[in-house]
Amino acid sequence: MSFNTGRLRTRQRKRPFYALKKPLLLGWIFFHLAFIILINANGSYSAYNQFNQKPNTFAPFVAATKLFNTMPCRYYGRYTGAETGYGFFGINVRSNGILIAECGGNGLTADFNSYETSLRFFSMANALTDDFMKTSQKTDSLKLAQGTDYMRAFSNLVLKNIAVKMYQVNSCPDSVISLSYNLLSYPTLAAVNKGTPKRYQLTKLISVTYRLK
Amino acid sequence: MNISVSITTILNRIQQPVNANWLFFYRINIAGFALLHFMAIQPDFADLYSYKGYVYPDIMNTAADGISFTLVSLQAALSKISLHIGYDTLLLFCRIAYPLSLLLLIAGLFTRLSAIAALFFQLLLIQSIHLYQYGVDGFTTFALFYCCVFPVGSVYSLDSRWFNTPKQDGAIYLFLLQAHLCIAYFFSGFDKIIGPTWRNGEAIWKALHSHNYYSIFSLDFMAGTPFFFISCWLTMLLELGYFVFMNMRAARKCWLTGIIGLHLFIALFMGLFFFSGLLITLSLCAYYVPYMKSEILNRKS
Repeated sequence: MSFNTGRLRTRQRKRPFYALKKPLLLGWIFFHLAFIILINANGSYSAYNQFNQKPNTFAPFVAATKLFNTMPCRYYGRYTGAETGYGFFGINVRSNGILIAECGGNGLTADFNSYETSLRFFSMANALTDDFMKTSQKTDSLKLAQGTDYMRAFSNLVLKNIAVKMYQVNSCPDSVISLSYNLLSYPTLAAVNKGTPKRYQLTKLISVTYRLK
Repeated sequence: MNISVSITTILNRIQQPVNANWLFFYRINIAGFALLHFMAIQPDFADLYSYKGYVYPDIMNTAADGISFTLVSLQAALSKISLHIGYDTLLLFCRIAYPLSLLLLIAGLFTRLSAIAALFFQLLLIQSIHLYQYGVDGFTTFALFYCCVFPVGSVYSLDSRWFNTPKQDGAIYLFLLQAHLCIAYFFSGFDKIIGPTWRNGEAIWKALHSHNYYSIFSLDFMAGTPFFFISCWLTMLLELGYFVFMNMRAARKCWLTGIIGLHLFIALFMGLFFFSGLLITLSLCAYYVPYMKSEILNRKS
């Protein structure tokens, strides 16, 4: 099998662009890689400080955050996939949450036909966990009327939507459905080695009740 | 001095001949993966995307960042130019157009256009359900973006057969893919090593006891052994050492085997089948197929 490089050379002679192509390509490659490195370095610093409850005061970090929030950077990151951070399961494996509904005395959970969709649904629940944990540190229960925080209000809207869907899917006999968000915990490895029983525990973070008829 | 040496090393590296079939392998596997991944959600498609779903599209759209289109924002944008299309019609169009663009990409027909269409629809569909996103989606986006940039249609494609496009080995693009993977693995390992639960073995224990993950069997019987401690350190070692050992000819095969083993473990014990599949594919594309011997020998001859 031979490479058709003859045609490329002819093009290079005819068009100056082909002479510039390689340096331009190399320039873009280094820019692209630098972008990915900076995004991830920024993410690691931020995650480390968040984990240790420290503020992000390091001047280069603040400057980089400002830069990455500019529209050109955000568009570039989105359409090239360079905005993705790679700190999966780091610094700490995130906590898990389960959404459980109750209607007419029956417990309900979201059921899907494919494992992949279930995984996506649980990813959504897990993504909400941190927000709810922060919220629960401030208040004992989520009060819908307050709605001061946009994301909190959005999360409530999402919860209500899920409750309505569960109500419809399960043909609830009651007019009331309650939906709770529960933190799922399992004893740590150290605790298990000291004799703690291997048992899951559910801690209710929030509970909301909807009257749907 | 050091910078100039590094640049020279990189320039030498991209001059080295590689097996051009890696471009074919990359195109087929990335498009095939994206197609399979999309097919996997088909039984619950309405639950994810329609107004009969768990989170209605307009509610989901309120928290979208507006950087890329969602189905709702695309529908609104089309309405502004007097193209009034119903949400369900648009959804159906995208549901057909995305796999179609991936099939064209696999066949290598109008490869670059197909890749651009596939990237657009992937972003559109995933941003429309952004709450349901997880790690694999970001990897899919960049893998499809590289299908737009790399000359993936130059090898074993309908484009090359019908339009006689020149064949390239894509060594410079291979460098980009390899460097991207090295950065990804390095930061994945770095974020783990700065966390105390990864250093004491608790992290994998916690991950394996997440209720939403599928596991072929429980590893609880290993609790009293150093298994979890060693697994955590082995994971960090494999990830942090990726950029060094995958680029050393002598160590490459061993490290690649380790990385594949790591991802098989993630697939079998955490149920992240697509995530693991994609990362194994990317590593094979970057560090195994390009160094298969036949094509290099052909080129030399």
